[in-house]
Amino acid sequence: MLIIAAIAVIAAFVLLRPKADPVETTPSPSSISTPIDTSSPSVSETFSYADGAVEGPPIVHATQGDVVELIFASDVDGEAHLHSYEVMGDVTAGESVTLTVTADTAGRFPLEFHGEENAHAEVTVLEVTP
Amino acid sequence: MRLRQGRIPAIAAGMLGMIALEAAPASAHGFGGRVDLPVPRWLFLFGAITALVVSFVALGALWSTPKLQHRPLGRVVPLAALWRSPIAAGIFRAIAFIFFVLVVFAAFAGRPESLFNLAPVVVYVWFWVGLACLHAFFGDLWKTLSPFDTLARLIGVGATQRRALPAAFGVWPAAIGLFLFVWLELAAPFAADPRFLGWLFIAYTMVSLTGMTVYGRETWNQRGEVFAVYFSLLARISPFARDEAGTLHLRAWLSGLPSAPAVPGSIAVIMVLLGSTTFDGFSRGTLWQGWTRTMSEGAGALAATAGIVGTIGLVAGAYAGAMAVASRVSGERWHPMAVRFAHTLVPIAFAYVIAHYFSLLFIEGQIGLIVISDPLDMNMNIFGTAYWEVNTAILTPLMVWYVQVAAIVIGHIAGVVLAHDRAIDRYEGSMALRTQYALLAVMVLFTAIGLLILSG
Repeated sequence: MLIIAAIAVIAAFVLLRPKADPVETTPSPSSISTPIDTSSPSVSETFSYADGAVEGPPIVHATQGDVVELIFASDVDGEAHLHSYEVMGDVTAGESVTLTVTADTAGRFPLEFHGEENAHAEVTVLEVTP
Repeated sequence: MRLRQGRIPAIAAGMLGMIALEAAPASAHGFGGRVDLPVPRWLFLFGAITALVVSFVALGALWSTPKLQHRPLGRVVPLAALWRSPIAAGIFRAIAFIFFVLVVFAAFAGRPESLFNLAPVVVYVWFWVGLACLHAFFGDLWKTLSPFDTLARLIGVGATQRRALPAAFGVWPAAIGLFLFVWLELAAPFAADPRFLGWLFIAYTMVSLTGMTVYGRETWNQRGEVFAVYFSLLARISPFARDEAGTLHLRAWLSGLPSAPAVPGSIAVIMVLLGSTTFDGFSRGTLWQGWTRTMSEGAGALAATAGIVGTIGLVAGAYAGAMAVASRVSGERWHPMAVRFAHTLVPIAFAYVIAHYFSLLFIEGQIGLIVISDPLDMNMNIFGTAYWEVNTAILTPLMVWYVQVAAIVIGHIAGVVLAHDRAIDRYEGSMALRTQYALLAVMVLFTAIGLLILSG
């Protein structure tokens, strides 16, 4: 019984595991662009904060090496902050700020907004897959 | 001054990090802002299938006489004389105490930003995660390292008991303290503020000394000191234990858990651990992030508080429900049964700790190596590490996923093994089997939820 169970578990692993590592099958064309090439971001999303509500996708998907552009506008002054990458941008009410990063580290990174009068929003999550 | 200004961008650029240079954000989670990528679906399925297979094997094919209950200690470890020598213990004690004092000073005198101060990383990463893991592998180190115990010995309090701590209180003082700590870690916006941590060190030292003075050092360490209770529970997983004379022995993995003291509050300790870690994982997922997206910091803290309490309640409810079903089989009341099987959940709780904090330990933990070179903000570079940068490349997402799923599955296996062993020790024949059904179902549920959270 134990042997059968062990075989079943190993078989499950072999069957379920993807044939090839998706990391290698999808090389990112922009993975060598070390100097940030802001003219052609691979990913670009726009967000806005007004009356305490956020408009825009809750997750931004990117592949490691992509140049990601996050455009954020708000109806109050404040600061937008992409965690871990530690990219920050001052936001002026009514205008938009663009945060540009080369997504060289995999993981999930929150973009947070801190504004005047206690305005606060978890704007989105940047998800960088290898 | 030039030196210091140069360092900020150097660290910040390489730092996988978190907390803005102003106050700690609402999504503080104690420490850390990077979150692991979700486990891919195939690995989730594999983990779930393995957990199920293991559970059915446990019902049909595991041993029929208890192997872990009342098991004597194994052979004495090599260098036993060294491990029991008071001089070696004294050296470790002194190092740990001096380090604690350094961290307290760093909390007040070091830089005020969470990321550049020694205290937050030591508390939430090195201590709460790192030292906890060491206990599960190497046994009860805190007995020797606890600075609170050392201080009580130094100033000569707590050798005798002035008043008895009522038996009905059990380990409730520690369970409540543990809840307050996980609340702080997961919900309080000021959790990682170094100055706040400094005051917390002082307050907790005062509480510990008072507890030890009144109820005796021994009693308070066993029932009131939060970390002594938590770490000693994890240490029961490890294959090392001391006999009455203090000689260090080997023992079977997990064999310390069946003899964990069953006192009032011991279930609560385990439920707080399971529930809070589950909530921490859930609150980093997209579902919770969506709900709390536009909350103010205060509202976010309130929501997190409700989330922690609710998750602990759900976990405890699921366990109590399973025990209610199982107790019908054996014709007992549910509560003594719940006490009897509570220890079987400890490996699952520890597995959650590994799954959720493994990458935190190895990536954010590096911050400690950097800041320890200048703990008091005096432009020093004691260990030559002050200009290091956090290297996130030491863990690839695939490594993190494998460790996470392996931890959850191994924790599940350990839980199933302990439950099976306790059931056959306690019940005869087919009743031993039938009392396991409900608990196994709950363990599969916990494991499935643990995997779901990792993949969501």
